[in-house]
Amino acid sequence: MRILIADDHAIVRKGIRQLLVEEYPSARIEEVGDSESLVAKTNAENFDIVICDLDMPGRSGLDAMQQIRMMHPKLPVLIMSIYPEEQYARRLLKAGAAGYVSKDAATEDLAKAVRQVLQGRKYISPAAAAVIADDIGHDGADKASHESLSNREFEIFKLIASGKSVSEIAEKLSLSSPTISTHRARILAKMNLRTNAELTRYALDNKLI
Amino acid sequence: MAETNRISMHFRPQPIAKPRKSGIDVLGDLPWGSHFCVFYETQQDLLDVLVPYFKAGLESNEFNLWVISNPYLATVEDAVAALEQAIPDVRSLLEKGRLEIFSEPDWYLRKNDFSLERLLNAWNEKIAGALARGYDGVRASGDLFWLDQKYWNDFYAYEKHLHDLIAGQPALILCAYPLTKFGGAEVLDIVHAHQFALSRRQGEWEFIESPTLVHAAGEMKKIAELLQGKKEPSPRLKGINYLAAVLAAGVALIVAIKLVNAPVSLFLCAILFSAWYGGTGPGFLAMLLALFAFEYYFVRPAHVGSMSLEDSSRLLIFALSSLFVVLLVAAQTNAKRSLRRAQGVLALTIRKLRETNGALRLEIKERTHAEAELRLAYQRLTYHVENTPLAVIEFDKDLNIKRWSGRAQDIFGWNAAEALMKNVNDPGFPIIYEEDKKAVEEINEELMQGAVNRNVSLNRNYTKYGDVIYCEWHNSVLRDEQGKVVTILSLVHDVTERRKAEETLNRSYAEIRQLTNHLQNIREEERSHIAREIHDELGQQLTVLKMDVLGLGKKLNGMDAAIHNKIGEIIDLLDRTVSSVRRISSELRPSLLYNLGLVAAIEWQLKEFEKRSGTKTVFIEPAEELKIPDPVKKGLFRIFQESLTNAGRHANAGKIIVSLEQSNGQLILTVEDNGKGFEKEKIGSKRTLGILGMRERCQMMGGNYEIRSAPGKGTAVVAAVPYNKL
Repeated sequence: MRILIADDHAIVRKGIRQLLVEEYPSARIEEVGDSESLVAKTNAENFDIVICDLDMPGRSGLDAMQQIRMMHPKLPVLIMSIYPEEQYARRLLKAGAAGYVSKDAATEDLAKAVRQVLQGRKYISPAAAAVIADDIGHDGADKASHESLSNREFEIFKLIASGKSVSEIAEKLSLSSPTISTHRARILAKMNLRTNAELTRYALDNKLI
Repeated sequence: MAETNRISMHFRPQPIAKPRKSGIDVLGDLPWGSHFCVFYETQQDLLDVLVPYFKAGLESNEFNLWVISNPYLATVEDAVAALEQAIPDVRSLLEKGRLEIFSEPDWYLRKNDFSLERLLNAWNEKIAGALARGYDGVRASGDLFWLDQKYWNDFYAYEKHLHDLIAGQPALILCAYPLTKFGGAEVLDIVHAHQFALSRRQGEWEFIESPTLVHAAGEMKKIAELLQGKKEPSPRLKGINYLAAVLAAGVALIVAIKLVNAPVSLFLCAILFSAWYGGTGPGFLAMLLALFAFEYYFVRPAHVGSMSLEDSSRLLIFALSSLFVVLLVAAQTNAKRSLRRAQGVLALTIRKLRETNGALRLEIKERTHAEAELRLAYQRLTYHVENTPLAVIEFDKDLNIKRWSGRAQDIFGWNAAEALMKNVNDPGFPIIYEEDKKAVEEINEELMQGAVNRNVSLNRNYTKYGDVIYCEWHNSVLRDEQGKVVTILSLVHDVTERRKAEETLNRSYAEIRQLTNHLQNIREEERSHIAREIHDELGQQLTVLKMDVLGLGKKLNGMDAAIHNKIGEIIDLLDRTVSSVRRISSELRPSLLYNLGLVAAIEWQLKEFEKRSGTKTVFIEPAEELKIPDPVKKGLFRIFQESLTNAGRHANAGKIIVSLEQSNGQLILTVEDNGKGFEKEKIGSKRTLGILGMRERCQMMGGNYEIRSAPGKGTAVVAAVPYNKL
């Protein structure tokens, strides 16, 4: 089994190597110190898994990970950083990471994460999973009615729903783009929506346009 | 030569005496009694007139008198030398007394005193003396260069007296006035004091005459015709004369029949009366009647053929004596009548002359007054033009320069002689800055087309030395009655200094902004550096330390519970230390921003904020993923952080809405709270500085920053920066 560790700190690489060796004594473990070498190395050799620090000098680990995913879609990349996973987990998984491990928890979780990823599954810690589940629950919360909007807000709501851009609306209503932006933010916040697309869907569902 | 014709028409004298040769080509002949003047500019002008004038005088039987004056002909010798070329024998003529030359102090100003009486007497003497010595008359010229303002009134009176004095005298007087010394009003006076004036300016002849003078000349001509008796008495008057003669003869016949004793003397009386009353014609009529009556009544029977010799001789004697009486009396009567008529005409002449004179005086007065007013107005204008700090420039309709004030020279470097009659588009006279030419043309066109009567143009100009200056042109246009452009009048203000000050100020602002930018970058870099140091050195070491301690714990499995507890405590402490390090580091440098982008960083920061403050936050994310350049990412994130901090600290808000969206090349960040808001005028200087900092950051990214708030209405911050989708 071949494992590639990317971290700009030799001491961290050494610690991780130790943790892995304990778990996989037969594994061939290689190390790189920055994103460029990481990408080059994955292009040149075959690995079973990449364990990559997010915060490296120069290009970030996220960049490198996305590039690797493009070149080698089957090579799993496990991201780690010193930040707590709830900050990153969702976004990183969305961006294509195979899993996320906080360096805090590396000692306890790394071996488990590597095993799970090598089995072709994604890994997140139970804490991160809880946050994500929370978010999803949040997203699914009851939408507020458009009736809570003021007349001006409803006017702008309809224009947004019909696909007009902020600057087009601004021109139409003789207002500045920033003003329309504030209105839009307020409308979306009031209606518990996230994007213009959601807004359009709401408008269609409620036959408002 | 047309000029000469005009002169001869108005001033050619009546043929009282033989005209004199003036010697001056354009004048031709002149009558005695001519008093005229010449205006000259140079010595050459003067000599061109005087030399032929005296030459003509010396060639005819005239006495010549020349009064010279400084500085053109300073001494008598100068004058003689000047004449000598045209008149070689002038020195002998001078010795013979045909010519006398005086310098001005010997004639006009004796002992610096101007005496009208002395001068008029002197002229009288000269004329009388010349006639006594057998000359036809006097030809004279006087130069009035010496004439000062203080003598002006006296001299003017003298000239008018002289005018009267030589009228009808065998004299010609030519007064020479230097044009340079006399102003408009004086010139006018001089012209009026002479019969006519001519001016020799740089070799060109000009005639000067006033309408009153022309009118007077016409009157004179009419009077002269009357004097010559060209007008016949009316036929009615003639009839009355003849009737009187018949009556007289009839009365004489009747009386003679009654008083037979003295028929001859009675008839003679009748003839006498008729001739006296009616002139020659009626006299002869009376005589014929008398002869007829005489024969009929007194030589009876009336047969001429059989008349006795005695009767015939009586009749003949009577006829001859009557004829003599008629001729004598009629001649005398005619002479008397002519004299009376002449007297009447003379009185008329005097009256008309007096009227003309009055009109002339009035005209002079009015013109002098008008001239003075005009001069004052002109002077006032000149002072304004020359004293104003604005350059005064006038153009004609084709944009040729017609006026160029002293200040214009100061500003543009070109002097009036160089600038006048130059066109603004003359390549040899570049005054409009190349890049501004089109704008200037539009401004001019606007005036020419009549869209406006005045306008202002701020444009760059060149000086004579090629320097570029900024000028404000205040133009106005003058039109004639048909609305055609006559003149464009421009007042030009040199605003180069102001523009330079503005530019310096702008540059200073830009420099300050750059400096602020630079300082901010340095601060960010330093923060970043410290964050990395803490994160890299401390954080990683702590992480490894924790791994080691955990490993150690595993290896010590089954040991003393106290040791396990201790290890647990160490790990807790390490966790807390790591999270402190992480917090400090991420405050200094939001690594999330660089690693995962603005959206993630805002989201994370809002969650942290919510956790800490309990204020609800909503983040409206952009629909699509954005690739934002690092400086913009950093700038917007700092604005977001500052706004969030302000909202948390001051707004007491229940909810904060943040949105980030991309629209038509703009990235718009809004941070809005529903807190208590504020009045812009009443916020503290610290917060003002915070706002200023955000605005500066925004401007550095080429964007706009806006903050809207009112008490009770919450606060909205909007930052819009240019953004191009990658």
